[in-house]
Amino acid sequence: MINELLLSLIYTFIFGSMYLGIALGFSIVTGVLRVFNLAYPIFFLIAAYGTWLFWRDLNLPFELSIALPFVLVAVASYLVYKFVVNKFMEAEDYMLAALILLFLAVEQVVSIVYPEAAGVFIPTRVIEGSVNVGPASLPGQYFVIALASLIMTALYVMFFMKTKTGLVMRAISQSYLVSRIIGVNFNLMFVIAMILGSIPPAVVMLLLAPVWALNPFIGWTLFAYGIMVAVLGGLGNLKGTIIAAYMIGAIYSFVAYLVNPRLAGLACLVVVVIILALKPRGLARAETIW
Amino acid sequence: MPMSKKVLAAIIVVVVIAVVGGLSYALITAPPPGPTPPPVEKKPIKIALLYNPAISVLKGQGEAAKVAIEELQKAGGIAGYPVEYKEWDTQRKVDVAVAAYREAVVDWGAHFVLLEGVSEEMLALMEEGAKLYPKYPHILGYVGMAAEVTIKVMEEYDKYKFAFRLFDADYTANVLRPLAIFWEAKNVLKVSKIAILIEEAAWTLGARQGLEMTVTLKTPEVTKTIRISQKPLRELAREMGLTVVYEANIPVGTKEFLPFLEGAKAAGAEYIFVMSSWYTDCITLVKQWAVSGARDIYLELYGGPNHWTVFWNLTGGAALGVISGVFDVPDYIPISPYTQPFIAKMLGRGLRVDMSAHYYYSAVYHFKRAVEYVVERGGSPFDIDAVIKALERVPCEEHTLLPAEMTILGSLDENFHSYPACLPPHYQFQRDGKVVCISGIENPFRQVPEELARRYFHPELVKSPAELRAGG
Repeated sequence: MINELLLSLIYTFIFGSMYLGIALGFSIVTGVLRVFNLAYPIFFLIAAYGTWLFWRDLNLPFELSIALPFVLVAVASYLVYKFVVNKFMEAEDYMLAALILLFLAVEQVVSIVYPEAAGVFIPTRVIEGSVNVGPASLPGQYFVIALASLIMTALYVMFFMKTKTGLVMRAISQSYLVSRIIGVNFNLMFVIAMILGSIPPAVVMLLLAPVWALNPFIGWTLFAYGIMVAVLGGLGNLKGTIIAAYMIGAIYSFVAYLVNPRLAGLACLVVVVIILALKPRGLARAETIW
Repeated sequence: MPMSKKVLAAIIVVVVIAVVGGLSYALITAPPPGPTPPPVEKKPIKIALLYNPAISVLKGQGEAAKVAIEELQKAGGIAGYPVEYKEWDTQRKVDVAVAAYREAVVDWGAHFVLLEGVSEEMLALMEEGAKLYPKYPHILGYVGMAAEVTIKVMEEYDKYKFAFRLFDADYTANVLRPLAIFWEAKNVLKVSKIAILIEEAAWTLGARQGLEMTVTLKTPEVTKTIRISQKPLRELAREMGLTVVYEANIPVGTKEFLPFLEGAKAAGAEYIFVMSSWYTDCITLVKQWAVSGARDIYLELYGGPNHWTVFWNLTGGAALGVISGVFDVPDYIPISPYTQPFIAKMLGRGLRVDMSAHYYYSAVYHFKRAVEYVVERGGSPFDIDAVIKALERVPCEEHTLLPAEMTILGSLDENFHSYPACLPPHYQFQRDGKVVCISGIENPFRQVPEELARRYFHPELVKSPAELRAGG
């Protein structure tokens, strides 16, 4: 029993951090732009398949092939902002439709160019094998994912707390109208927020690759975790996102290790539904990003 | 002396009669002018292929059927009748499949429809086919699970007699295959404590809960009560002398297998058997197993890694030590004379081979054999009722995975309109993705003749995952 408790606690940290990493970028974009970015899953796909493209199709060095997709992701963020978000800013229903269609189109392109039979695999394993924590032997790569998610979150929080650009973004997230009056360059801020929001999913995807199957439809699976965490936390609020990520991680782990792994996913959803029924705007009200 | 007018008239009449008569005779007997018309062509036998070409595994299965049809075309057709085929993309969606099926049967006039799809598609097609059959007789073949398909045929033969499940009946496969697997866990891997993870899908219901049912088979010739019985996996394992220390159901779509793997390890399992198909994300499962605390425990997958080499690549080598059935190795055990040539043909076309590819290829040949049987007895290949009876009666000598004697589709038992279970040998992923057949030669459940087993089975080569990772 003590072993199971220990495992539950450790996996609360691991899964919670992983969910945080997945949802982080989505929360940033929602917090600053107040846009429900349904094209978010394309960043997972671009990171994974972009790396494969540079590495195996263009025969570039592996390290460079990992770095270059971040450029692609940034460019994609800009294009999404320029041609979808900005264009439909005043017509949110059209924007949402355009964003989801864009994601589906990218997904289809990836599935045609790199069907499962292409055997896409990205060896981004940082730690081979397991890490021993007390009596438990745990997958090292999951610790890397957890650590990377925490570092990214810390960096973003510092960015919002300590930098001028971060403060401007918080101002935008608090009051769009006041920000406009004081002459904030919205286009620039929004583009920066979009690009910042696209980095965490790319990082998490690359680190998850050695322990998750890569297929062209993985984007939606990961996005589902992101939405669950972001909505529970309160859309666009980083504090809420952090709390929600670890709450879901805890429910998942404790149910999986102490009750029945079969029920873990359901337990998370039930808790999310109950909390949202009581607090429809999530754990933290989405009036500011931090 | 001048002829009299009467004599002259008589001569003219005779000459005219002779000329007209001669010309008429000549016209009747002479070959007609112009080019020789072609001989009357026989009506073609039409085969419709319904599958989803967007997914590589499924495309491979459709391609396997096409390979068989093209071979028949090159060989002059079936019993002298030309063979035509046409393909439809079902997108693996029930409504699309039904529309494609109607088009194939009604508009194109298919005589044999071969469906690749999920059981929901097959069941929907059977309902549609029951309406179409009286006006558009045809045969519907399906390579897949779902006991309902053949139970429907047994209980309402007149309505569904056109439907064949050209695959294992799941209640026999899900008993015999696990028994063969558990025998090897005990006798080859030498384990005693096992964990069982079961994919939570319709086809594993019997494996999870057991199955007891009685079906009444009613054909025009016979009425027979058939008892279908399937023990749950845990009981099959216990009967084999194994101790089940952990059991869990895996929901379809799961991405986090660590709790299951850790659970198995915590329970002291020496071997994890996963009752999986490609519904389970076996790639993720294997990747997580390879880095989990359970990585030193043998992992056996019932199904999932359909295309062996692709699977190895997709896991990035994490499959080292994993055990499963495998079919796309060139030196696969030649269960029939057609096994290895078929694999070579597929590999030569750049196509991978899985179990279903074998069955789709063989299904075309079984249909061919039934048509030949009818024609040899003076019947017409378009007498579909007769072809159905022939399919129930004649074995398929060209089957690539089953011995001919196992290919009777009309057995008056739980395999009616299905094949009995095929029990493929087991392979283990070893270094650099090389697969080694580790099946036990004495395994009483295997269908491989002993001589072949001695040649192809190498249980002595099995290695523990830890040994393999250490470079063994």
